[in-house]
Order: sequence, then structure tokens, then C-alpha cells
Amino acid sequence: MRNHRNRYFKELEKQIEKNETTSSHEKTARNAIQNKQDKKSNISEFQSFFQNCSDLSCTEFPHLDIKIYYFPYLIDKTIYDQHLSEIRNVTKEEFEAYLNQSEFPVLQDVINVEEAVLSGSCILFFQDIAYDIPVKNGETRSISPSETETVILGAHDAFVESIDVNLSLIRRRVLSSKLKAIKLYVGSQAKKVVYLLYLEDLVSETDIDHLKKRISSIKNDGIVDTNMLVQYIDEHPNSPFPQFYTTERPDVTVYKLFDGKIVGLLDDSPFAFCTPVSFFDFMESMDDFGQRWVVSSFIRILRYIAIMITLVFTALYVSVTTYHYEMIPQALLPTLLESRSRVPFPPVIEALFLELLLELLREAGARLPTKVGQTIGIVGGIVIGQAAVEAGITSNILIIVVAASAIASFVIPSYLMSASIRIVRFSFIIIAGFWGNIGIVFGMGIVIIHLSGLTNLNSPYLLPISPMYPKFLKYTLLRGPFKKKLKG
Amino acid sequence: MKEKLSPIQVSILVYMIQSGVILFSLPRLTGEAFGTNGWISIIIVSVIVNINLILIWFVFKVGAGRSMFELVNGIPKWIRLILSLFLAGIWLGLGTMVMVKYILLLKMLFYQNVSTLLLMTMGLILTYLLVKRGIYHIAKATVVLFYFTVWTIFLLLFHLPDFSFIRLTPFIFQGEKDLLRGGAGIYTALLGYELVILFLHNVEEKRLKAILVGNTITSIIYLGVCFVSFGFFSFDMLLEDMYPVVTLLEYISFPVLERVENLIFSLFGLKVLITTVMYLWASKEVLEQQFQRIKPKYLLLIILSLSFFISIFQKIMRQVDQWLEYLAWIEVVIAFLLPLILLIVAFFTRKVNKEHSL
Repeated sequence: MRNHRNRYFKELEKQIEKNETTSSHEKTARNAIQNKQDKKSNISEFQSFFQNCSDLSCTEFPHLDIKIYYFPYLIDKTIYDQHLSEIRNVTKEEFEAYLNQSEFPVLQDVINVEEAVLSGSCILFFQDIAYDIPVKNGETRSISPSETETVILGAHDAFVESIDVNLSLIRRRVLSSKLKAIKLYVGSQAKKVVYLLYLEDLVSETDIDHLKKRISSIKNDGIVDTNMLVQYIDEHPNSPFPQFYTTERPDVTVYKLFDGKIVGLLDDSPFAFCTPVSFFDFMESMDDFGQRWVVSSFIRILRYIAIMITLVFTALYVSVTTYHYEMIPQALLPTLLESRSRVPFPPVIEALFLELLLELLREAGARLPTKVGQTIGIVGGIVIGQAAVEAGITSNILIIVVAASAIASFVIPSYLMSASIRIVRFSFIIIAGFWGNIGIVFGMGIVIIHLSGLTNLNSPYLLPISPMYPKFLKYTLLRGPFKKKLKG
Repeated sequence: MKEKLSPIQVSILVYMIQSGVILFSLPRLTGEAFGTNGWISIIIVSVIVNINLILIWFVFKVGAGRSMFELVNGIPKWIRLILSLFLAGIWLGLGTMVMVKYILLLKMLFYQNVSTLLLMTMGLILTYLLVKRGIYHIAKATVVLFYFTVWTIFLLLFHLPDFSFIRLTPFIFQGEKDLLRGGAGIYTALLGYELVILFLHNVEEKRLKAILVGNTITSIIYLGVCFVSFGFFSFDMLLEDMYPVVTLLEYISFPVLERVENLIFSLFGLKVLITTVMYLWASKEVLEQQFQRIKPKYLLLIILSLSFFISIFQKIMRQVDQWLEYLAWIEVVIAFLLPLILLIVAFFTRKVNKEHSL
């Protein structure tokens, strides 16, 4: 056997030397042979890698001296059977010739063999040389509408868990060779593919290099989602605010690409991330672009008001009812006092209790199946709406205040930002309970200082407000008309 | 420092440094100093400030874009040390006193039971967060704080129905006057602009315009507030009221909220914060140049500790006012003298350089 193989190698070497226009495939094969001469056998090393992996299948053809390894559920059985039918009835010499002519790449390193079999290839070992037969199973969840970012106007498709499908969703929207894609890997043991997409001429090379470095430096395994990945590469990991914009909508992704952003896709994640983004990107929805600009601008202003309501409305209630009764108009005072008189707790406890209850309700609703979720909604509605007041635990007015700030928090289009702001709101309520209005102002100061210090890929988080670029304001705070944007 | 400040940032920064707690008593001060229609005096004072700003800009031009610290390198080391310690001391004192004054006022008007030290600690925490990251971060935060506070000026619209031109009287600068002392008092209301000398070289473009616009914003806002006060209160009432602008705010009521002066006054703290932040930053910058061995972070902590230490002893408003008056007088002198000294230094170094090149 060994003699036969050595003869085969020698013949192959002679043939390569003779042939001046050596194909790259043959070059690879020659390298593989050279490498093999002082290395232990590929196949045994491969087998040691997958020891105790009983789901790895092996098909043997002893008369041809070949072994084919694959994971049955990762490959496309039809293509696999086609390949198999071709080699079933051939002789060894014919098979050798077939392999030399075929386009199956030779895998030199056993690490590459490992990667290939895990990504859905069949590995054919012939005379201890590994050939990669790509028979990847293209099965994936079908494209469906987005559940986290619903829109009324605009496209309805959303990303799925396959990076190839996600890439196709973007490519078919950007019909230009200017759209570039850089392939990177994250992790040390189980490497995952990340694609960085950008439009040439719209993105600075420094930004891309910077991002490439940061992603490549991640050695952690088990990054299963884009929203996890971005937390490894952001500049301020302790900030409660999201710094990378993540979306599961291809139309948003394409819009961001044309806006000069870099987009990242992670394999097995239905989310793309965009960078560099600012706070105001989280306030945009694709619906804004479908509506008339006057309507969209009004809605955007409404969202900023919603942020303020979410942040300070409950805190202001606590502050006013604890320290500043003089701020309540005469007409409202009796109603408020009557409502508050039955509550045995200070306003801050009352508010925190209700806000916590609401957060519990929201979290329970998010985790439960839809049918049970409805029940939770009804139970929660009754508890928060009526029972709490009748039991004398909270006041009527507080319920209105808490409900208003909860509704306002859901107006914020980005789920991540909405969650962050709701969390920050709790600190405002506590601080208002301690120090009243001056406490709220102090909290506001901290938040503003923190936000203006944040950066995303070295770009200020509050751009274009601070540093200020007035001509961009109408496209961030408002949604300016398209015509003028094209001219500008 | 890599990043440069944009002209808009600088204008807003200048406004935010200038705008201070004195605004709440400014209409009375103008009335006391200049008599009837004292609000016009703001224009005169503003013009003088503009001249001073042009002088500072001229230093920058003659110094060929060099910073103040690069320019003073020509002065002997021991003079530099004394000058730096003096400037740092004055700026530290001013920054602290401005905040203490605000806190005492806040305490007197709304929060009688809250400890001064607690409020001071809050202020210094915010100051620390801003100063530690340098001027670029301060400028970025200032712009946002500007938006959060500047809308309060539109509350003056609430007073328009009760505004009467008859109260302005046809007499200009009549009645009892205290031109020199009172005038200087009004001038101190616009102080803060002189710190421009420390960061003018960091401004991207349109430097002169940016700083003049900054002062103009302050002047217009001061002018608006004083003008409305003169038409809202009678002249005698204006002189009687210690803080006429607080009274103005008390008058405002919304359908769901009234007596918002508490909230507005608290919000005004963010403007006072920038004034303090910039003076303490200036103090840190000057000391950092002199004591380069000490880490900037420790230097800042020393400055903040000193500031806190000074504030412990300030219990009475009168005492703080006295301190502020003295410090502001010295600061006015610094505002004019420092650019002049630097101008002479810049002029000589330029001359020496020219001779060398010949």
C-alpha cells in the first residue's frame, strides 16, 4: 500500500514538473504531498479530533481506498448521492484521474478539514489526502416579517439565521460593485463568520481597519448573536445606552449603508449592526421615510417628547408630591390630596412599587407564549388599574403617570434604547425621592455629561447636536423633505 | 489634543460661561447703577466686552496661533510660577464662589433644610465628570446643556400681556446712580469670556466671530430679561426686589403646573455648573503647565478638594457676595491685563524671531 502511494506521489510530482502551466489545484496537491512526508497521517489526526462524535457519519469504499466523512444533517443528500453515484462503479485508476480533474479543493491542514466538515462539506480521504466536497445544506428558516421592528409602510422582509440569505437580501437591494464585503472570524475554538459590508467612497478606510482589528481581536467563543457581538467591540461597555444600532430589517441596513455606515453580519444571527451611529439613529423608523415629511417630522418630535416623559414624568410626580406641593394648581390639589390621602407610603415607594410591577408585567409578557401572554396582560391590567387603587396601595393619578411613561417608552422605535431609558428612569425616580427637583436636574446633568462623552467608532454619540452641524439637524431631529436632501 | 472646537461650540461655550446667577438680580443692579431705563447699560457694557474679546483675538493673531502657554514660555520661570499660582488661585476662587452663591440662593429660596455641603458635593461630582475629560468634552456637553436651559428665555413671553411701556418712563439714566461701582457690577455679570484666551488656539475657524457671537447671545438674553423686567415692574418696585427675575418666574403658571420658578431655578444650576467647570478647568490647565510631574487627574482632585474646602466656610450670602465682588474686580483687571501682557510678549518674540531669520 505504502509503495503504491509513494509511486503515485512520484508520478504526480513528475507530471507537475513536466507541466509548465500547472493548475492551482495541482499546486495545492503538491504542497499537500510535501507536507505529508514528515507529518503524521491526516486521517488519524482528523479522527482524533472527532472522537466521541457519534453523529459524524463515515462511508467507506474499500476497493478505492476512500473514506467519506460528513454530518448527515448538514449536507444536501441529493447532491451527495449524485457524487456518490459517480464514484460507485469506477476503478481506482479512473478515480485518481477523476480526482485530478475535479474541482474539489485539497485541504492541507487538518484544521481546515475540521472547519470544512463542520460547515457542511463532505471530506473525502483518498490516500490520506483530504478533499473538500461542498454539499452544504441550504435549509434555513424562511424569510418572514420582522417582529421586533414592525412598520406600516415599507418592506416587510427580515433577516434570517443564515448569513448567506442575509447577504443576498442586501446584495439584491444594492446593485453596485461598490458594495464591498470583508470576511472576518470571531472566536478561538469555534470560529464564526462575520461580514463587514460598506459602500466604497462613503466610508473611511481608518474606520474599517479599526473595526476589523476590534472584531478580529475577539477570542471569546459562544457569541451567538449580533447584539452580543457588539458588546465586545463597543468603546464604553459600562454605559447603559446601546452604542451600535442593530436591526433585523434589510431595508434599514441598506439605508444605513447608503448613509455611509459600516454594516456587520454575524453567521446564525438575524441581526445586522451598523456603525458609526449616534443617539438619534435609534429614534428613526423606516415608516418616517414613507410618510409625508411634515407628518414624519411631527412624529419624530413626538418621540423626543416621549423620551422626556419616560425619563422624568414619574420622577416629577414623586418630586412634586414629596417636596413641591406649591407647584400643583389649586384646582388639581383637592383631587390629588384625596387620592394620596388613602396611600400609606411615601410617593417614592408608591411609584417604585408600581413601576416595578409594570416592568415585571412587561418582562413576563415578553417571555411567555402569546396565548398565556394575553392572560398576563388582563391580570396585570386589573391589578395595576383598579385593585391597587382600591386596596389603597397607590393613587389614581400615579397610575395615569406610570401608564403615560410606560406608553411613552414604547414609542421609542429601538427596543434596545427603549429598555435603556426605562432603566435610567428608575434612578431618576429614586433621586427625585431623595432631593426633589434639584435631584432630577442633577440626574439630568449626569445623563447629559455621560451621553456627550460616549463615542461609537470614535464618532460622537450626540452628533449632529454636539458637536453641532446645523445643516444636518433637519434630517435628524426632523425628517426634512427629500428634494432638498438630494440637492444638498 | 486632536479634536478642535467648532465655532458654534465656542459661541455656546462663551455664553454658558458668562451666563450666571447674577442674572436673577441683574435688572435691579442696572436700575441701581444707571437709574431709569438702566437696561440700556447692558449694550454699553457689552461693547466694552467685545473690545476686550478683540484684544484677546489680537493676541492670538500676533502670537501666530500659539496658545497662551506657548507664549508665556518666553517669560522667566519664577515669574511664570507666581503668575500661574495667582491665576489658578483667582480662577479656583471664582469658580467655587459662583457655585456657592448659587447654592446659598437655592437654599435660601427653596431648600432651607438641605445641607450646603450636599449640594456642593453634587455640583463638584458633575464638575469632576466634565473637567476630567478636557475641553472638548466640556464643549460637547455644554451644547446639550445649552439646549436644555435656553428655552427658559421664552418664558418671558408669559409676561408680555402685563408689560407696559409706560413703566419704562421717557427718562434715560435718571435718578440715583452709582456709575462706577454699579457699572463694574454689571460688567462682572458678563465675566467669563476672558477664559477664551485659554482655548482660542483650539478653535477650528472663524475665531473672532465665534467669540463675539457668544458674547452677543449673552448680551441679548440679559437685555431681554432686563427690558421685560423694566416694563413689568415699576422702577421703584424693581429697586426694592432683591431678585426680580425670581419674582418674574413666580408669576408663570401652566394648566397642570404653577410656581415653576423652583424647577427653572434648579435647571439654571446647569448654566452655573458650566461657569464653575470652566473656571476650575482653567485653574487646572494653568497648574498642569507648571507642575507637569503631577498627574492631571490628581491635580484635578486637589483642585476639587480645595474648592470643597473653601465652600465649607461660606455660610452667609453677604460674605460670599463680598468675596465674589473682590474676585470679580481682580478678574476684570486680569481680563484686560493678561491679553496685554501676552500681546507684548508675543510682539517681542515675533520681533526676535524676525531678527533671527534675517
